[in-house]
Amino acid sequence: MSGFLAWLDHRTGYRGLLHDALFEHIPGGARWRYVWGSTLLFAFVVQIVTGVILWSAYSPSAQTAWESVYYIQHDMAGGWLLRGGHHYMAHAMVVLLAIHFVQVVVDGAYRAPREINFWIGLVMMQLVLGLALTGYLLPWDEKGYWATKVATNMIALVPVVGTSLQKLLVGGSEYGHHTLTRFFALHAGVLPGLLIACTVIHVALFRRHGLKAREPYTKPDTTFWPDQVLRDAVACLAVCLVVLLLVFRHGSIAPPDMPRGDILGTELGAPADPAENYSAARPENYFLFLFQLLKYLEVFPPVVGAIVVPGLIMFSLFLMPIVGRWELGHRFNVTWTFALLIGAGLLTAIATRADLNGETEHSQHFLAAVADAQAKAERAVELAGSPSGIAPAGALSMLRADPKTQGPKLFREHCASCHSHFVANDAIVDPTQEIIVEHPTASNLWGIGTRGWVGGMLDPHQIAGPRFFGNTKLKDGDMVTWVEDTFGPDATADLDDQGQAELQEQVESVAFALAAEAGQNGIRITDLDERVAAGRAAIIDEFACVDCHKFHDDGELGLAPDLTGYASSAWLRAIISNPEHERFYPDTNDRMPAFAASDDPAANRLSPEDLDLLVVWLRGEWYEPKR
Amino acid sequence: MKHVVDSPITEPQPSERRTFLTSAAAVVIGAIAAAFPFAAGFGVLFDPLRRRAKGNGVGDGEVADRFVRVGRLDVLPADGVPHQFALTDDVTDAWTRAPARQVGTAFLTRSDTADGPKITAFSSICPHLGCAVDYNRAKGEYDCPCHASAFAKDGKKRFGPSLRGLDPLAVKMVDHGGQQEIWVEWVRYRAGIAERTLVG
Repeated sequence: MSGFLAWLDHRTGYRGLLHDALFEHIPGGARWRYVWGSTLLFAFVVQIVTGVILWSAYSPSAQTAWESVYYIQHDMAGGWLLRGGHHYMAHAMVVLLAIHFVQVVVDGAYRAPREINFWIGLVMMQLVLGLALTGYLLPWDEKGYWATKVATNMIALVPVVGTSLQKLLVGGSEYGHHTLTRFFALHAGVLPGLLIACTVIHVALFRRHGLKAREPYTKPDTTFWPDQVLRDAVACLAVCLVVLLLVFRHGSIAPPDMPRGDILGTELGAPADPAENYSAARPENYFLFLFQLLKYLEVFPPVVGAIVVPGLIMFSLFLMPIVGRWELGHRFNVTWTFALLIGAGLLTAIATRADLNGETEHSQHFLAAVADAQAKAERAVELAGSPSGIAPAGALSMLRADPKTQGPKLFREHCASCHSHFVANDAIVDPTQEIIVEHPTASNLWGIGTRGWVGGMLDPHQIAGPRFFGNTKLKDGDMVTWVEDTFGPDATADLDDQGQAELQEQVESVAFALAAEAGQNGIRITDLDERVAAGRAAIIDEFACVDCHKFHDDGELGLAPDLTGYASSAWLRAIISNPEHERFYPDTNDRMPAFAASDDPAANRLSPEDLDLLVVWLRGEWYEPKR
Repeated sequence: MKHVVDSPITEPQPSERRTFLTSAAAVVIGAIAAAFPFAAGFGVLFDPLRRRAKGNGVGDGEVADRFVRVGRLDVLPADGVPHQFALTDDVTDAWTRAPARQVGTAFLTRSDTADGPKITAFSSICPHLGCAVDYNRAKGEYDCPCHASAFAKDGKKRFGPSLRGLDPLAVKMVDHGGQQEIWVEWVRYRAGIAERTLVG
């Protein structure tokens, strides 16, 4: 063995290199305060390793970026750990960078002869921030998309070359495939390459000048190995532990049967949608101070806050070695560094407080937007994990074809000026599915066609109420009169208990029969065909609904809505398309417009796809995962 | 203050024992920290190893039905000559679910006998190293364009480096509303070996 090592050393000189690397002289003994540069280097190495592994699973295009990150986070073994580790190590790197910088300034390690190394360090700072910025976009979720849009629009404010710079960065005028490929090339190629080159020079120069030890020395001189190496290793391990803590921080509150990708690691927003407002847009935490600064500098042209002020601050940092030639200048540099840090911290705190206080209108709006975004992100993950999965067109198309998320939007847009959609009783439901209208002028369509709906319609206390005809001109119509005459207290007063129970039984049978027409709520005709048959008989005979309504072979169209296939998909599509069709309200329609009466889709208010989404949503027939 | 790099031997040693413990601790802790990024990425890096080919039954304990529809019986002429057909199946490619995608091709030969139509099917994947073989009508054999393996019409190896003949695919007839349909079992075997082992 020793023979081989001697042979190797003769050809490579590795012993000398190792000796140089390990026995760096440390005046005044090893200290904890010297660990920061090493931790920063360590964090960078972690980012390279985790980044390359992420690279092996990531696919940069507008139809695959979110999808591949979803796959990493939710499907690949321990993908949440890898992604979370990379994400939080990036945060750790920015924090370590700030600490390293402060230490260099406070210890005067930027002064002669170390000026050039200090400037290289500042370039490295820019590279790290560039890595953070480019990495933020890569998942192509709403958060990264909108934040990066702002950032690239800021770059366009650079005088003269700004718009060209922006175009080069974005890969054209529009965000798309090439924005991702170009950002990815920067994030995984150009910036890390430059950073590695700078790191080599930075460390070489550091070795050349030696450690800038802090005086007074309390211990005898020592070497890097082993005392300082031990301290560095412990610090690096501590950084790992902090990152792991962040990755696992939601682990204790999560139910054990929940997939780990749903709760651990870092979040993945809903897929970026250029056609949708995203009111929760914020930059990554460590850029929040710039975000806040922009708001304060609104009186100036945007270029001031976006380019001039940050540029001047960076320039002031570059001047530090020159200013620091004088003792007073050094004190100024230290003061200025802390002032900048405190200022940035203050701005961050103000921005965070403004967003999260929960009291101001701004904050409530923001928090609601965050909750919305979270619900949408969870839904996207649910759908991606559903049996139909993500089609080749990508996750955004998948989300746009989801009745659960699109239904409320379409309802708000087209129906909610008259109709509401909420649960009238105490049942706890998903609040995103409820739409409460302040002054409704039509029925509350929650649960249309269900047994509860039909039962309520036949209830003399409800039919003229706000859930049904109370807000419409049909309040005084024949249906209301008939229900009151048939089931009202005057009509049932002389019935004994058994008679009342029988009548109630018949009403329930009708509810079964009409819910079976709608074919929803899991009603299986075979289980209930006796009830359904009794209900059908009651519709035709006992209650003679067919005097006004058509019901299969009985009755005529024209007087009242067709009960054949009542509230089924086809029926709902038809009534929304044209409520004045002879099947529905040819003469007694209140104010409902026809949404798709024309054969020409371009002439209609609702496209066939949107109409379908709305109908499926009203019937509550969207995909829900089994828990 | 001296600025000379001393060798550790001439350096004043606080205590051999202490130095050893410090060194050992530095190595161990340093190794743990260095292992962190690799440990974090281990699962993702080796994730493909825990995945199985569709329907090969390993892992989930069930052998899925691998038959895919080729078409109606009358699309295949009863001329005793191999005809190439695309096979269509639902595909799961990582995160993408694509229904009815062309996943491969098979050569089907039909000759009608007194007992009815007799159909044989061969995968077009060369059993040597996976190139796509082509049927050469003039020579009446299957030729591989890559390494010149040649196979007879009945799939047997004629010459070339392949260790086995073409892979036969099971054929079944399905009655679909009075129409006879040809269905072929879409399976893939490992290339380059003499046995037929399913791709895992």
